[in-house]
Amino acid sequence: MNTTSQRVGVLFDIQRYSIHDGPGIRTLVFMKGCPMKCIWCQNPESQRIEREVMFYNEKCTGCGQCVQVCPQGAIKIFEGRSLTDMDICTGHAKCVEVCPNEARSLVGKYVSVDEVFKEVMKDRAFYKRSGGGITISGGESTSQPDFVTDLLAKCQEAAIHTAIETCGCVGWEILENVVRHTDLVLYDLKLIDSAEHVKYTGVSNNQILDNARRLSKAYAKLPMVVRVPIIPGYTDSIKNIEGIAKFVSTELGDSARFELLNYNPLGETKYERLGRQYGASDLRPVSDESIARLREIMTSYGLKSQGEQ
Amino acid sequence: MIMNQRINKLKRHLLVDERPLCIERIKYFTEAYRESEFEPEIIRRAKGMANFLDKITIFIEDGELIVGNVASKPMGVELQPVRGEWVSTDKLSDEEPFIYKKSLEGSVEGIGISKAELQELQPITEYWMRKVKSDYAHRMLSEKHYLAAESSVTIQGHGRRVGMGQGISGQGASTGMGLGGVYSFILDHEWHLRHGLNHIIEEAEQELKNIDFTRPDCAKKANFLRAVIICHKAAIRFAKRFSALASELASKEADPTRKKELERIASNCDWVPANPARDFWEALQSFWLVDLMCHPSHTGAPGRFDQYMHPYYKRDIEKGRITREGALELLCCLRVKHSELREIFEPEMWRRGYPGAEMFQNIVLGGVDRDGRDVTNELSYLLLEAAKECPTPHPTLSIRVHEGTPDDFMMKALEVVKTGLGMPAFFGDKCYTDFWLYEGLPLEIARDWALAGCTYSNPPKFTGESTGSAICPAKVLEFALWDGWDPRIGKQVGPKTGAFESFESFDDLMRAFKEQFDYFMKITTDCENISLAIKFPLTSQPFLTPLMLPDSIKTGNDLEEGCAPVEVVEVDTVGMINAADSLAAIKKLVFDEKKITKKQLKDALATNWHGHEDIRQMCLAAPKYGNDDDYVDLIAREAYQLFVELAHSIPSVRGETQTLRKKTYTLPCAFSVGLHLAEGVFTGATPDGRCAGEPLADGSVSAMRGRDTNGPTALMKSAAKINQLPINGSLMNMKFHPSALKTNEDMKKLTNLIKTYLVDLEGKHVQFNVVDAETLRDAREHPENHRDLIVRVAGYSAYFVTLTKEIQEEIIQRSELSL
Repeated sequence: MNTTSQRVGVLFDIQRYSIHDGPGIRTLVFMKGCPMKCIWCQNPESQRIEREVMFYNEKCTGCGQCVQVCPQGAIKIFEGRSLTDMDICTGHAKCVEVCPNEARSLVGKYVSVDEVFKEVMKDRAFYKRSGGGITISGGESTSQPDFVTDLLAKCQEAAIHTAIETCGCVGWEILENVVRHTDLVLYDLKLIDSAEHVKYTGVSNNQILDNARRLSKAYAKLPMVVRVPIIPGYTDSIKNIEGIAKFVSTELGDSARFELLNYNPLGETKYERLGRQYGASDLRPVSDESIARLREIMTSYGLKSQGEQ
Repeated sequence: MIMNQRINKLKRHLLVDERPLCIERIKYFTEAYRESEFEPEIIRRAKGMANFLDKITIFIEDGELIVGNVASKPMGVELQPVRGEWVSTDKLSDEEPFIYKKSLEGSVEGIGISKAELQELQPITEYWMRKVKSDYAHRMLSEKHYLAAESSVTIQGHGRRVGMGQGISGQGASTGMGLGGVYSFILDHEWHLRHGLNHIIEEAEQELKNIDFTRPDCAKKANFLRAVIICHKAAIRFAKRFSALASELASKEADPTRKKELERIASNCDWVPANPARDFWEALQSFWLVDLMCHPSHTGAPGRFDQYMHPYYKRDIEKGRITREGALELLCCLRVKHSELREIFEPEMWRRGYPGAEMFQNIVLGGVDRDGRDVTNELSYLLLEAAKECPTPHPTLSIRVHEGTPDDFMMKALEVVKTGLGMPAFFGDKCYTDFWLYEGLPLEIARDWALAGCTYSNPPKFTGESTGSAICPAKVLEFALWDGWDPRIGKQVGPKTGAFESFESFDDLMRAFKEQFDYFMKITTDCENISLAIKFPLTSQPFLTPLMLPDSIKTGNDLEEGCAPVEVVEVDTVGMINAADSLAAIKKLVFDEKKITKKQLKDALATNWHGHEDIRQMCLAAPKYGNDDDYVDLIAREAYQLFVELAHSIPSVRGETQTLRKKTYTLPCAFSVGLHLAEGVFTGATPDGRCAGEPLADGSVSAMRGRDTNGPTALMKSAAKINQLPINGSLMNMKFHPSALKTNEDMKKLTNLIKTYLVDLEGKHVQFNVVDAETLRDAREHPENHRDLIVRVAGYSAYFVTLTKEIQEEIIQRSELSL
């Protein structure tokens, strides 16, 4: 009992009372680092595994204190505001400490498994009553596999329900290690067409589809929810949804459920704050009717949505 | 369909721009009072009541199924003769017809009075000016009490008379035109529905015949019984006036359906409340008339309405005398009646201290019976449905949540919450029961608790009135920092507890805080005790008493003598969370980390942060209650514990007279009503980063607005660290964005959230506003488009547009949780 783990991971957020990522009331742990670069990504700060500085332009007064402390010399004052060369920045975050206006914040925190576990346990009473637990997301949950495995194992030991959200873009052995301590897998499938997948996410979907197949065979009893983000103009075509439905229904067995996630435009300003370009601007969530139509396609393949008995 | 038309029509008439101020009640009361100058006080009161019940203008509105008005005009605000200080005549000057509108900027609802009525009111006001009960109390108080009130660290009922507090009156019955009302009581409705008022009259007459003149209290008893008979006979005549009016209207009515309804109303009012109710409709009518005649006397709550009304409903359904829809329609009609009710004393303080002019009509649903079994019934569901069909701010619905509360009942309740109505509120069944057990009540009586105010509970029928003064710990801390000096009024108000600059440790500060707290608690309770001690016979209650305590006919004791089995003197608190956040900021920045000096902090506070923005930012970044952070939560716990211990150290004038409650001390409460706004005005900049004059934290275990950033579970965990058990009532507001309550699944999770807090973590109360900030902002800018938007204010709801600008802003700022 009570294995302790001082193993350290890089997190970018912990969110309590999460109600849309698995059963019951959950605590969501967001790991930093992702092998994919989806152009619609709403958590760009989660993509790199390194810590990084987010800059709130509107709060900057151009006082220059950050310029003086930066060990890399990555900051300059330009037109009354500080400018950071993100290619040089190493996330030392001295600038964050000295900024008097909170114009700089550090994304990513080194935390030990024990510390995260302690945070997760704070809502134990809520999990117990609601059947909730921990969901590890990201970024990509498997991007820091040793840390995540330790954390999941520790939670399971404490009888906390565990879930991971994964994009599946990871070696089988690593994934397998993680899912051994997982009670539910939220498995993201974005595009069924391999060429499009490469084009919009930066990687092929071969490994992703293959891992999904292997999971459903080797861990047939492990509940899996296939999650499809509905990104207008990218993933919401009937062809894509039909392709995914066909794949899930023929290759993943009867237990897999699906969930369609509507586009969430809340992350667009983050790109600017990270000094990056957003590749898919001006997207809006699709209508409830469109979602309903796509859901019908999924159910027409005999698939059940998440939560259905 | 037809029902919707009726309810919509009745509901629409609630949305008025101007409520007429009616003076008939005070006029006729005063008339009789003047004519009975040499009679015993209790008889004068009875005759005053009888006179206005006989003479006040009555009416029946088109479509009404439950009748009875206490104001002489539709939607009128009846000037209160049995409670409340009235404004001095010079305040009733030229601003006719919207005399109070000016002082209530931002609110759309004015109160109007005609010149003629104003002239008529003048001599009446003058007559009562010298007879105000608070004057009597005032004469017994001393300089230290006035100073405390002037600084507004304590809030009690004598405020206005000694120029203190600028219009924040007490919460309690401590005011009154020489008469005073009763505060926070729950009648024995079950009893009067079963027996009828004639029963009381007969018993009183019998007892009067057999009076034992060898007893020293024979005269008191005889006068009490005579007064009871006068009041209750008048109450029956009042009902019969409605019966006659309904008959008259029926005879002229062309529409055969309405004609039948009016005939039924006539027969109802002819039979009840004189006689036992025979069916559901009669029971509702009887309830309403009796409730009305206790009003406006602050605050008669309906209590466990779904319990005592259920037998009537069930029998009618079984016998096919009523349909579910028919019953729903009646309940909707009753909601409209409740929302018409409005009283007034000092208008400005009323509106600021109790935004939305709440009457604390709190209906309790569900919970357990005396054996601990769930008692949710069909009527509990139907009352929720009525709130959904007829979304009016009053009456408030409250659910007693325990392990066995049916899930579908919770879901139904959340459907009502989801409409944005702000109700029902959710209460921890067990935590309240445990509280009354802790106070020494037997388990079966403790389990019968209901809400007598917004979150303030008592066991119905057994409990006499309570009073309600409040103390503001945020202001108490100010005295600890300034050595008892009030920078706002420039006077030494509290004891000298040492200069903050000389404190060597955080413990030194806590010691000063404790000494100041102790001093002001005693001042607060002094004021409460004296106002209770002088109540009888000034404020005797011959109508109410036998409805609360049926055996009073035998004892001849008036409720105001403090003769109920449970008697309490209470102290409420407001701004505790600001005190806790401030203490945590000082501990961290000044003592633990030594980032700022004591002098720097005081300078920043004294200048209201002007030129010290950097210090303010540090203070804001210090740990804040509501985030499940032990650093500050344990300070909040300690501060509340201190409050409880201090209250427990102070005996009360009514401690000895009660027979059921085993404790004699002052009861600690924490509900705050709308006082966080009013008190904020008088509290300077606080070390939690708050600016001078800004509202304090709402409720009692809510976080300061916008400072809880870890979501609802974290806030609940913080609140659960406070030992809520020995406190009568706590209040937690949460605002949810509608998107967090979209699906059934979301609502199930919210049910789990509520149950975890109230059942597993033993919280006392939580309530929700489900409306997005944009809608509220739009309503503030364009009130005309949002006349019917209802929000939760404190332990009750109100039309948003009738609130003042300050509280509108405050509600907008409360944390909004979405996902």
